Amino acid sequence: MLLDVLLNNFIVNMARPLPPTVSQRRRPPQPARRSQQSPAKSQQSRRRRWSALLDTRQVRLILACAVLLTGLTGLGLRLIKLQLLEGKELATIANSQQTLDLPSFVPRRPVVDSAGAVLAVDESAYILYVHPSMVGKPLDEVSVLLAEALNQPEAEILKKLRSADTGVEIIDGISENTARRVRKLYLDGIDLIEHPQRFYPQNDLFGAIVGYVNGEGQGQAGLELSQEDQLARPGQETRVRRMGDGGIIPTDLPAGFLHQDDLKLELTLDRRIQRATRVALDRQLANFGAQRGTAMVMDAKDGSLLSLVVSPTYDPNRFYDADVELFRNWAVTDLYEPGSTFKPINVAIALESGALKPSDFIYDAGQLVISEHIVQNHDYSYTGGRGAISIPHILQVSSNIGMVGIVRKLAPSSYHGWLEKLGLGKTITTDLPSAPASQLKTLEEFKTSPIEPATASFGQGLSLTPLQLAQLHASLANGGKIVSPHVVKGLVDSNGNYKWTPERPEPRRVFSEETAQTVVEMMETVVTQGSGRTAAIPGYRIGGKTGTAQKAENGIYVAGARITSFVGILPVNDPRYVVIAVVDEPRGENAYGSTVAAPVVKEITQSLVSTLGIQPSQPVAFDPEGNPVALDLEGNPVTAEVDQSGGVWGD
Amino acid sequence: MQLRYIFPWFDPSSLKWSADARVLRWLTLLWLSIGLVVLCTASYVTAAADNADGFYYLKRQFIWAWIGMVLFNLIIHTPIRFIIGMAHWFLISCLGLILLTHVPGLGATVNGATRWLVLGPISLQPSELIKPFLVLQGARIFSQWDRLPWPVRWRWLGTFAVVLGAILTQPNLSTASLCGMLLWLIALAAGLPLKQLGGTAFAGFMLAVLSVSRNEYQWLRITSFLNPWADSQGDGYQLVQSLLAIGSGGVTGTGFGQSQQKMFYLPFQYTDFIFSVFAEEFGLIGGILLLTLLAIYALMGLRVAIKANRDVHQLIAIGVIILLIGQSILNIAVATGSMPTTGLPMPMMSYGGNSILASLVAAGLLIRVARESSDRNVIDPLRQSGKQFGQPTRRRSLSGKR
Repeated sequence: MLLDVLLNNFIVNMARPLPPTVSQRRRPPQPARRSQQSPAKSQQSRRRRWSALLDTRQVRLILACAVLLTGLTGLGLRLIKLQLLEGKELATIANSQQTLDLPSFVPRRPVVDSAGAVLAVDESAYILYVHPSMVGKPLDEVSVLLAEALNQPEAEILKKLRSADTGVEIIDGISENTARRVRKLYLDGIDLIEHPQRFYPQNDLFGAIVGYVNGEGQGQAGLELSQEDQLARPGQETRVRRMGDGGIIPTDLPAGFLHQDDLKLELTLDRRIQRATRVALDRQLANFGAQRGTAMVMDAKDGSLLSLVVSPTYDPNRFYDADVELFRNWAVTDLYEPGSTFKPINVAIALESGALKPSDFIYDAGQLVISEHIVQNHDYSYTGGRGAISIPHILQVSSNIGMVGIVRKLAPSSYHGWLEKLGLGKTITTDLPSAPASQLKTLEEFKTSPIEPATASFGQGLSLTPLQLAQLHASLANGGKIVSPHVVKGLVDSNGNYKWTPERPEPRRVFSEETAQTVVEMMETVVTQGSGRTAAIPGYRIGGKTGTAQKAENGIYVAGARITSFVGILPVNDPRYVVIAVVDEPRGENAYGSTVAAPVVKEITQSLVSTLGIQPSQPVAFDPEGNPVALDLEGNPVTAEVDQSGGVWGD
Repeated sequence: MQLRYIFPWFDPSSLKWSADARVLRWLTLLWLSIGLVVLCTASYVTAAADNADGFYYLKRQFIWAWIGMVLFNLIIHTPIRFIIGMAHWFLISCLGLILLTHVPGLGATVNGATRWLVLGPISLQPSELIKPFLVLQGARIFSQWDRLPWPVRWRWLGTFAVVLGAILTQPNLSTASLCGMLLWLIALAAGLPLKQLGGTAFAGFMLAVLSVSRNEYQWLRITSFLNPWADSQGDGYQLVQSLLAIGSGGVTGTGFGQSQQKMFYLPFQYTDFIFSVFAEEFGLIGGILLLTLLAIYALMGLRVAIKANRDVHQLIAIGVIILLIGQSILNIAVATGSMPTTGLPMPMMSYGGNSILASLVAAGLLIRVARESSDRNVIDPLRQSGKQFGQPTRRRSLSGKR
């Protein structure tokens, strides 16, 4: 309306009559000039102007222009509607198509061993959906093509294709290569949905340690669980602007978006030693039909593990097929009575406390009665009492009575204090998840019932994990310090720089270097002339201790169920590595620490020294058959004969 | 060579023009400048993506605008009688070119329509170029309609029908209907009998219905315009994206260069939908100002038409504003969803040399009419300005044609 008024004024002010014909070329005077004429004339001319408006031509010119002005007015109203009234709504819709919430998923960092071999990595996997109604080909033809591309039975695919019209999931977790083969079929009605999948190239070799992730990419066991913070990349949900062609507008990206870190979680484990450990353990488990076993190699200097195997285990690539029991790394999570393998620790305690001298002799009666409990040596039935024997001898024959004698030199409270100082009754510090607190009788029990310190002297009545046993032996091997057992070295970038290393407690000194070395050398005699001869390797000085214990369940010893173990420390002249094997419930009469566990440790040690290039500390000769034979200081061959017949029960 | 043919925006003679002509010249230059600025922002992203040079389209548009301005100046300094005398030859030439696009192998097909003749680096769109000559010839025929014998009337009505038919069958419904409406409105302004006009309008409408029924894409566009959101990823996509762009602008706009919708959401964002980018960046305020500019232009055109002392001049003036403002209205109406989606460029703004040339030639005609009707000196060669620039001989020879 307003516009029309303006329009009319405009037209009236400028309009002037037109001659009806086209012949007249010159115009009468301009209207601007006429406005200066007298009022009477002006009135007259205004009348003429109004009459001129009736002129067809002029009206029609105005009409044509009015059409345009109406159109422009309409467009103005339309703009007001779109931009003022509906602007916010439209802007919201526009914004939702222009912004993109980048998927919160960022690939997890890979896990590598100390040599850089990949243990876990995120890869693209695909789910194949088919919409049978849109394929446009006979389904049996499609199923033949798919069966070939997927390497799957054709009949099953056909059955799935016939199950629904759309959205049939044919297969999940197919690789990039397979997906490419499917794409090359150029079939209609096919959806390949990409999603990340954790891939474990070593299959079950590191299963119990590395663990697995669930479908949402969250760690569920092992390091995937305990190192979630290190493995999950900063999962920022990023809102970015995107263009109509799908491109991301770079200026809106958060800083550092394209510089996704290349960090990997590096472990201390070594794939070669891990494999050797696994092979040695599995062979012995098979030989003895054992229920389960664990073996590990620890660098005593800092508590880093070079290998850690539990068997049986599972393949994290197919975790959903595995028995949930296997997700537990029982070397870390399960307590057991260490038995005789604990004896060297007690010797170290006695030496360090000053109650015992290395040269002391202890009287071994073969059997003792302590507050109505009969305690005897494992070989009492056929050996009887040994009389006064040296400390190394006690270890060599694994004399329980000798150990009781050693521990009796300490006050029960002092002994208990020592055990606590070593970390018994507490949880060890480790980066492996779910470590429990070890068990130790209370100080009160130690004081009131003499049987408690007595049984503890030969490693019973207290329980710890195989990992903690390794830690305690590491304190002997590293000169007397309690270290934190671990498998994580840190986050390393592609240039080998560590961007993060876990904080670990400072090694805590419990024994003097002299005590530790004395005990290790005593343990060497176990391998050279005692129950541990089955672990001897010509040329290498190895300390060791066997263990064969009756299994206790709910405080009651289970008849015939044994747990055999062996601890090795090498090289004795400069102790560094602790090798432990524990085999649970081996079958057969001849199943002892010396026959079951010690050969495992020997085999592991052999591959350890060859992998790490540890030089023999004694000259080695070869017998006529080409086997290496260690020579003693005089150059005579040292024979390490294994007495397989007698066995060493309770050692 | 006059300076205005080297630097076409520079024409010292304009100081001595009538006020109407000068205002219209400045409005044209303002419109063209706004067009170039908007084209810069609207085409930058696509140009950078397609040609690795964000100013690729702007540079080309600038060259075309330069050429257009030279023609613009040439027309402003050429008596309208002389131009009218040649109009029919240009019209027939353009019609010939339109017919050539129908020759297989000559016409270049883009998006399913064969509208182009490709001559080396230059693409001619004769259906654009013909527009100012349709105005001229329409004005010429309809201004003396009463005095023309029927055979002449039929000859030219037939010619116009062939032009519209040739454009329609390219197919190019939008340009054909624009040209049809242009001729019809000129005829209306000329005072032709309403009965004849009504009959023509009905025939044209039936023709449009026929075209729509034979070209499915035109029907889809018409139906999708009624509710673009029903199929916002399909037939309604272009319109929905345009509405989102305009709506995102709000009252104040996102600011120059800040359009998000031009990032490959809007189709044809530097040609047919350039207004959407403009509206997103300059908002309701910018939109209303642009519409006001167009309204002032239309009113100035009307003022020139009414003041013109010859019928044919009146009709040329009104025809030019119908062409320029009418086409702008159709373009904006498409962008704002007030009309079915058709591919009409925005005069002076959309990328395309043919459109720029046609628009500037048309604007030049309007200004020439404005000069001839109110500037008494314009016909007198001796009163021509520019003595201080020398070269009187050449100027005299130029004005000698008049």
